[in-house]
Amino acid sequence: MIFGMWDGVLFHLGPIPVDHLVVTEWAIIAILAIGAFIGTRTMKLVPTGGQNVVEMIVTFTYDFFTQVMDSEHTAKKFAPLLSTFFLFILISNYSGLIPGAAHIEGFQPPTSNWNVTVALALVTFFAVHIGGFSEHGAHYLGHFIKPMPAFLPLNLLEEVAHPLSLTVRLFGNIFGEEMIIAYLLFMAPFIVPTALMGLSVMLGAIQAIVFTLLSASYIGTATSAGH
Amino acid sequence: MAPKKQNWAKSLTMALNLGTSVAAVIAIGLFGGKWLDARFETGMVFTILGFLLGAATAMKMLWDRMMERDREATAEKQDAEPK
Repeated sequence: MIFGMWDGVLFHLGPIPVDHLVVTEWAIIAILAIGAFIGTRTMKLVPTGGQNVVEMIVTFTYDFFTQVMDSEHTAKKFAPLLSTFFLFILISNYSGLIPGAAHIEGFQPPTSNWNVTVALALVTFFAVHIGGFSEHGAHYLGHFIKPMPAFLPLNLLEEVAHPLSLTVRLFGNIFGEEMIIAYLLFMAPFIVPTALMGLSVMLGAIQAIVFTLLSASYIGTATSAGH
Repeated sequence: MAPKKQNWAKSLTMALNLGTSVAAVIAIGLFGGKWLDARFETGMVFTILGFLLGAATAMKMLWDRMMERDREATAEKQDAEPK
């Protein structure tokens, strides 16, 4: 156990060990699934009430990703993935604000563990290249040797840097924030950590936005006409 | 003709992306080189080569983004010119 972080296995599903992070992620997935079900079960052709708000958010999301990716077609194709990233990371980050998080064994926000952020960054990595191949076919491989074949190692290094920077940024920010809150709770419980927890609300949202924006940018670059 | 709306989302993304990606490529080159030096007992050879490769990649990334912005600015200027 390091600074309240616990990596124990809760139970086994056959040969697969299931730890607290996986269970927390299941809870987040359940929250998102139930929210999506409730939000869409009474949809009508002519929207009324809450459906107006949901449709406004979806339209804003499409417009926003179209701006970032410079293509409406790509934005519509990848908006569901990117929006899910945003919501998943946001709820994960905010789960650290629930009383007890980071200083009770087995209760920590999933994004404060690098295994989770690596997994999220790898999804982006594969989405980028699947998007690139689906738009350009085999010609997509050509961008690795642009402007000339000698640039291959540089281009490969650039591709590897994307998931690394996504991973380290998200993990570092959330882990650091949780550690500081845990230390402050230990040293001066109840009052002092409150200010930092207020800051965490903002930081959690910023990190979710940054991860989503950068993923959108990488996908947009891989699928762009000039690539 | 009305001026083209500033694409703030794209500019913000580019700024965020450049900062961390430049640090990441240099870190990968440097630590990758250090690992290779430890593995093959080659002193500082791969560390220096890795750092140079990382720095060169960072320069290329900056150059690419600069050229991209230049192309966009030229296209915007052409769009704004009276036909």
